[in-house]
Amino acid sequence: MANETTTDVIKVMRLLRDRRNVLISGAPGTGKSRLLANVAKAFETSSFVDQAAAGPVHVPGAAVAIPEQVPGDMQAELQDVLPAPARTNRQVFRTTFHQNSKYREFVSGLVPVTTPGETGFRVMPGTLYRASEHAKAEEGASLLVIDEINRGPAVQVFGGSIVAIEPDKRLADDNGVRPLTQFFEIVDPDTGNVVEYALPEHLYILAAMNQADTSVEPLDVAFLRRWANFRLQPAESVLTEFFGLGSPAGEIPEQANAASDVYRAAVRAWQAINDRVRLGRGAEFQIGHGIFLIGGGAPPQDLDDAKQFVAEAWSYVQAHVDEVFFGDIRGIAAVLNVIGGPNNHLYLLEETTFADEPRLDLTGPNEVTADNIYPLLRAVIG
Amino acid sequence: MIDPNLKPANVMRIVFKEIVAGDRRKFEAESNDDPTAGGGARDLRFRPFDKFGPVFSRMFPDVSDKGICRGRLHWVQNGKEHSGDAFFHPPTSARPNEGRLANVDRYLPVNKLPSEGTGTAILMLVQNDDGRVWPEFTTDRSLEKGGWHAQVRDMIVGCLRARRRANVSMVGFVDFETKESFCNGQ
Repeated sequence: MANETTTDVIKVMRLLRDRRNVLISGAPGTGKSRLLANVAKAFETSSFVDQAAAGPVHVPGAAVAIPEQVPGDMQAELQDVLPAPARTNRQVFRTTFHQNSKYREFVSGLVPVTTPGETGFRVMPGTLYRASEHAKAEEGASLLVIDEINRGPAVQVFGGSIVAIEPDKRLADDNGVRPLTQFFEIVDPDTGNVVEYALPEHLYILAAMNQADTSVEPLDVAFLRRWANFRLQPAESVLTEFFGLGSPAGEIPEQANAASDVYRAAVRAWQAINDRVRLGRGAEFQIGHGIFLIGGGAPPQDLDDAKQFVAEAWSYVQAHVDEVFFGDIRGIAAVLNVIGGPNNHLYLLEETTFADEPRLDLTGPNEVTADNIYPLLRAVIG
Repeated sequence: MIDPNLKPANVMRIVFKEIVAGDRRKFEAESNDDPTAGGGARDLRFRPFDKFGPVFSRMFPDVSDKGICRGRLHWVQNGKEHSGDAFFHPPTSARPNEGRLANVDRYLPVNKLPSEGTGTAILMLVQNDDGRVWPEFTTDRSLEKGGWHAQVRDMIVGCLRARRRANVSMVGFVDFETKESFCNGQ
């Protein structure tokens, strides 16, 4: 059966094929990095290789005819949307933007010579340049993956190349110049001269960002409109499948009798938290399903182990709520369903005074543990 | 768009054979050293017949009165499935325990043969559970590099490294349906 990730890979591939530049955005924990990795793998190998082959399976036409891992479902769909399907020399280039990312590292520029005994400068070919040169080669196709694109000064890093990334501003399939091809100046890594440069047809750029990151500046509109957007949302279906629940609906008993009771409560409480965060701060500030998937293993089926598993995952929820509503005690209390919630809630919001000024005080357990996680989840659900 | 016929399928059996320089010339129909003569032999030989005969009769189940097994070989070209007739001949009186896959220059996708210098070339005839037989070429380097199914890799590489006379090339098969296997080395 095609899973959600596979379907998303197909959608992103189609956008890459049609629009060349795709920006994945979503709340933390919604699977951006996983999607980047899966798209990169599928781009490079032209296939989904996500299932271990039990017995020998023959894949007609593949370089490895009887592989240890076989193409997953939706292989035909992938071939339909694969960018540059006829090009066989496919390579992925990766970079992550940060506050100190520079144009010279991304496009090209002067850097000191570090060879012992030598002094001077050399021209460094940046990630975009190297990906572009690869895509210009015969049979070449490049996917440039930029993670955390809004954590760096993206507009400065792209410099003059920003207009040239647009699909209709690229070179033709044979690297010939089109009427709208956009050239920009770079320092040529081969000669050190300033030359005009344009980007090839089969350079695809896939970036990801978390809009809720409060520590970075938002990207400007002129930059954003050059990207096709793909938004990831927190997905309840991923969790119900992961926990084997079928549906998160159903009674949440006062006492957990089985691991499934704990997992059902966890999914419902996580949904309730996201519903309130969306109202209080906005959809981009929700927390994704990925917090329960950290570690990669299957969820334990023993009741006590399940409580421990969820308690550890819930610490990410708690930290996220504290960060998003930093300094807003009432907001934190509202998200945790303390305001108007059940009387036996583990947390208590009290009005008090400090230096004769009114203050709010949210008190409760110092730590979420296997012992208190289940009643906490029930109280958050309300 | 990918050919919908090219879906992965479970493997039923594989016949594998080392491709030596003489075989390469058969693929090019140039095995005869006499320029005034014809192209020379164009058959790939499988010995002993008492081992390979039953396997080929399962691969090519249309057997004539003369014992010739007839079937089709399938391969991928430009993303499409192609196929051609294939014939496996029984032994002749001159070579009583040797079967022959005939006219390999016409019925094998010889353009997919790994170039010399890329390792020991190996032909695999792969029969899938839908009955179709696919010739696939690889090399020992590719098999050892990784990515291949361990059962298949171990069988072929193990056979390639087995002891045999210097002038004998590797040949063998593995049948996942009957649980039989054979390697001409020890």
